[in-house]
Amino acid sequence: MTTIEKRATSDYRPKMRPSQIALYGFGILILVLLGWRIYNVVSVEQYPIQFWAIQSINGLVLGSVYALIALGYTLVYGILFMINFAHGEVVMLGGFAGYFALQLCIRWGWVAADAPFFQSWLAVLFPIAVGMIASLLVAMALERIAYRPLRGAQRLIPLISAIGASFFLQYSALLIFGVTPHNYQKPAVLTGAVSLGDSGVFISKTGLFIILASIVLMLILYILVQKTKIGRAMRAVAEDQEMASLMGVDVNRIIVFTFVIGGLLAGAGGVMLGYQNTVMRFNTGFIPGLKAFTAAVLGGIGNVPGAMIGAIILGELEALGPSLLGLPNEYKDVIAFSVLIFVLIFRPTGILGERLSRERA
Amino acid sequence: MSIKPGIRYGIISFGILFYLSILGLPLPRTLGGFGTLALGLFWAVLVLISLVTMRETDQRRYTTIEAVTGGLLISAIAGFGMALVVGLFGRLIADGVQVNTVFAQVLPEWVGTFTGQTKQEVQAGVSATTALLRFALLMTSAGFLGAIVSRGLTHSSRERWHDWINSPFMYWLVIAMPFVFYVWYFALARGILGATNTSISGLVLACLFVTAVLVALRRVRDKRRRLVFGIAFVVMLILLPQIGDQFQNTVLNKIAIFSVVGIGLNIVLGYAGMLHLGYIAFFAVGAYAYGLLASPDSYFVINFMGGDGITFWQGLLVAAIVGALMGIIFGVPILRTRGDYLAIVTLGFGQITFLLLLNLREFTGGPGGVLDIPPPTLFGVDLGSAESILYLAMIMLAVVAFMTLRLNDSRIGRSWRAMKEDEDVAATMGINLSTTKLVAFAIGAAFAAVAGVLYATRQVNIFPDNFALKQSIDILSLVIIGGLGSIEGVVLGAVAFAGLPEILREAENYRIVAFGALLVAMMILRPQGLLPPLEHEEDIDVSDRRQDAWLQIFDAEEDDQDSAETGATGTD
Repeated sequence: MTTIEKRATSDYRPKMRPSQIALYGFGILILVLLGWRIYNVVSVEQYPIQFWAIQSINGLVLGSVYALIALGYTLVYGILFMINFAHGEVVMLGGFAGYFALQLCIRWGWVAADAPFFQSWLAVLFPIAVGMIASLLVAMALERIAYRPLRGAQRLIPLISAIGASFFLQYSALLIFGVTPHNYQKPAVLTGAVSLGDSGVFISKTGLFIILASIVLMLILYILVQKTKIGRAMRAVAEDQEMASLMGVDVNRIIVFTFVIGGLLAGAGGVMLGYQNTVMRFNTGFIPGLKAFTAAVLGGIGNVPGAMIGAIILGELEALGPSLLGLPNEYKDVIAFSVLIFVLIFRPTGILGERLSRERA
Repeated sequence: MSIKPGIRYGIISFGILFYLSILGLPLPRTLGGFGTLALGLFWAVLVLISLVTMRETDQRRYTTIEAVTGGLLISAIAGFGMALVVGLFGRLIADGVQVNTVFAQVLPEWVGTFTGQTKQEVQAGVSATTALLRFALLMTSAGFLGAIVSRGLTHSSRERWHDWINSPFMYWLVIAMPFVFYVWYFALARGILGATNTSISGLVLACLFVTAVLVALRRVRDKRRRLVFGIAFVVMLILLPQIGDQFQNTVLNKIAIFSVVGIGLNIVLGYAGMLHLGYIAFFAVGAYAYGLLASPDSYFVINFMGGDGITFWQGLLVAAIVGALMGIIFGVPILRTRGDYLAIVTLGFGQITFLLLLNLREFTGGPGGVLDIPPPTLFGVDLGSAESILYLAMIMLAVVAFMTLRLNDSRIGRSWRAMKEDEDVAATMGINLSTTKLVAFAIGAAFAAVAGVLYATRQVNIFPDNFALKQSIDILSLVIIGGLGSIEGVVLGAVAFAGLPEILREAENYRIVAFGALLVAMMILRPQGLLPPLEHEEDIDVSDRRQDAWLQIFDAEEDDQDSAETGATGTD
């Protein structure tokens, strides 16, 4: 490699400008102030250690659900560079489908406390499967109707289309399923809590299930993306669509497949949201969708591990943030969004977003 | 042959009808006597689908026989499918199954609107085979009609349509429309037409008048005529608040206020090209700045100002300054972020502002909001009536629109456009990106904040819910539906987003569903908005393209796309 090439390819870093130094100084000042505040609160309030443990487990549960949803955003963004604003609605519809499947299970007597072990687990898994399939169908329809005709259009246009689709789906759900909240009834195996030894720390069985199921689903996703042929094609399309299509990858199919995976994960996330919140409404998906999207951006959108990390961080922030800062619990969203902004000021492409070049972001 | 597309579109049509029906469209109780109308709607949908799909394919035109077969197939599948579904639901209801636990709208009355039975008959399980058969045959007739009508539509008829649109008759008709609506509105409001309860119908006419003015101004290109009609329209607009009743003026001033907000966002998004999803925050800041400094029961007025709040005019000034400062404070951290990251950060700002308004109870009143915001006064005259606020809003709109036009032609306006096209190139050409962005944020935010003051005094009581994410998205949509970068477009968008909800109040949820679908359809069919900025239309450099042979490929492609859009919906 010649010198010129080396210079051209090496990472060019300009010197820090005074404004940047001021910015970093400001950042450090805020960090110090935050640290001071946390130190004060923690030393004054004297919460027992169990409290922190339980809160961080709650954060982990929340984070796992966010991660499942965030992956849908990030996969689609990685390939199409569009914010799938209607993804929260895909989650919600999956949750509704899961609810109806659960009603069937109740009718078959699988949910009752005295149901046999096998049936009881079926009552957990069957709604998840139904929710996943429903979300998959919705995601595919969404892609076909609202996004495919807009491929190659200006970036704002698919976003507006997605916003339109989001309102359409949300209020359709309101009209079709009614305003009354649909109450999820937990199957017997998910009720109650598990105690971790004598430490006084416990974790609800639902929470444990959500964490484990999310890990399993994400492992499957990892294997799918990293080890299979279609996963390789997906990565190729994300890298360079045109080049991938020249290499014989059917780009259209890969895009649909991406929506399928996003939909499957969203459906699972929706049903888990139902188990966790025990209630499903037409707008249930909107806020978690927004949070999951925030998580995806926090981790670096378009980046699969980034979405998981971002989601876990966001979940923990929401669970621990208010107590750490000594604020009422209503401020959890303020804290989450403030951290997002703070991170993006210093890392404009998110925590793991190095891979995205500037012009793509 | 037309069998395959017939079956395909038949299934799609059935899906559409089924969806519409479970949305609850045929239920009379939700739309007040809309029951039979809804069947008309179904019928019209089928006519339209068979008309569009049976017109011609990409390759060739259907023969009459093929078209009729296809149309009949489409409507028969949809009609008999619906009849089957209705029959099935009727059976289930008669058997005592609670269908409405899944589909909330599917009640006995729902079945009754298709079969003409009463609630008791449906519950008793009275057979309705003939009624359903009649329904299915009625639907099938729609496809036949659509297919026959599609014979009349050819490419040449489309050209004739274009000629007709551009004819002098249409030109004068478009110019006449504002006058027609204005006189009609006047006659209606003064009771000359003998109609009572004219609130809603009058509002419809007022909105149509505003729309017609915008369209007419768009159509008149000649400078002198533009001036003449422009003055006429301005005079009519000045007299407009005198015609309407309080309700109409309230809605009209909301439209004007949202136009101002939209113009502010238009600067940030349309001119400078920065997607701001938390724009409502600035509107909220303006409203709360005035509310908190003027309302006699606010924390600040009681504790720091000795019980005397500021006046409306001081409020405007304060809001403009605070808004611009907020724009800069929110703007500085995000100077480096771009595109979708910018979108999500601004969304975060919007959410933070909303949550702070909701949770800082001592200062903002929390969910209880700020109450008793004083009306504006001028030399002791109370300007709190809907009419005076409409005048104030119209003046504000005029000032803001004028400022925007001047800004757009100035050096900073050109910098915005350059930055929108390509940030890196703009920076290379010597444009200071930071200043340019911050100026856009500051001006856009100041406009929104000033509009917020007027909104606060219009509402008297303001609550955090008035400034939630949904409103932010509404404002974004109104700017884009109207036409990004065009002031007339923003006003039209405001009519759609601030006027229509009042008109369609009874059917609010249906409106949102329809709006969602409309947004998607617009982005596919007319992404530039209803009234895009004029220079945009003109500077498609067709003449340049004609000079370069290879560029004509793009023209050919565009023509293809045109025919694909108006032709079959599926082209794969």
